[in-house]
Amino acid sequence: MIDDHRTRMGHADADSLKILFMDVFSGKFDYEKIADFIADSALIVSHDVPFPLDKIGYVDHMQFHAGLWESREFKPEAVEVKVHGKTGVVSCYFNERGKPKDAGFRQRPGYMTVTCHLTDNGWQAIGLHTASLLSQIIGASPS
Amino acid sequence: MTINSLEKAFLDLADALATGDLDRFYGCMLPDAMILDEDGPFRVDRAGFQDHINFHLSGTWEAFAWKPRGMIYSSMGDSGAVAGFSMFRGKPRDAGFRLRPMMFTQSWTKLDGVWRLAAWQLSPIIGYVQQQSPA
Repeated sequence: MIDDHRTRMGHADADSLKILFMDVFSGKFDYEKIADFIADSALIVSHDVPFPLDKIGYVDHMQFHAGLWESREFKPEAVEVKVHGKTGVVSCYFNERGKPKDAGFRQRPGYMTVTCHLTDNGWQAIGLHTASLLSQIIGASPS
Repeated sequence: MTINSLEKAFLDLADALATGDLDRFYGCMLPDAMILDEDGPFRVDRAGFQDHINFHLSGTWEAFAWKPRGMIYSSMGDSGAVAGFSMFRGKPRDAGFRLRPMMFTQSWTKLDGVWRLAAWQLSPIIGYVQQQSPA
């Protein structure tokens, strides 16, 4: 019963979610597009902030960044999409890269997971987690 | 009610881990769950996660525990998300002790009336407070 769950929705839905995800998160940072993708009830962990945010808090943080960069983009890699019923999950590695004003350049490699639900109006993110891979590297061993 | 059942599913998973009931713990997860745990900088599925847990169970620890706190839940239809903090703590063999604070999120899906874990990302707080600013 559980094992056939992926065939119920077909691969088209995974494809549609991947296309949407890449449109939202690939290339120049588009705050409004990201906000449109995120449900009002979403839970968000951002790689900049050491506590969970709601959508309002996340949008506030994105707006903080909006005027501080000459250019900023997100590069997802190794994107995996799984669809279970009406639940879609996207995970990938990313490099956030760009040119902050008054600083040379900036690259921040990380990993992210997005939890989505297929609504009548398409995919909506109810969970978003971006984290720097420093988390996995620094202090991974006791000695 | 959906949030309540999602919370119950999460607490069941946490209890299974805390009590060492690994069959029940892994049974909460889909085989193709996408997991990034706090130790490895690459994504694994349930089998890969089991392999890593087995490394830790192979005699490298005298004791350890995963202590989740401050969980928040969100659901839409049969899709659920959990976010929270957690502390991984314990006593490695031949080292004093170990405390590792982190945040985590989980993706859940309800299939045939049963919540199953579809993704889990754990990331130590140190990654959020080091090098997050260019100057």
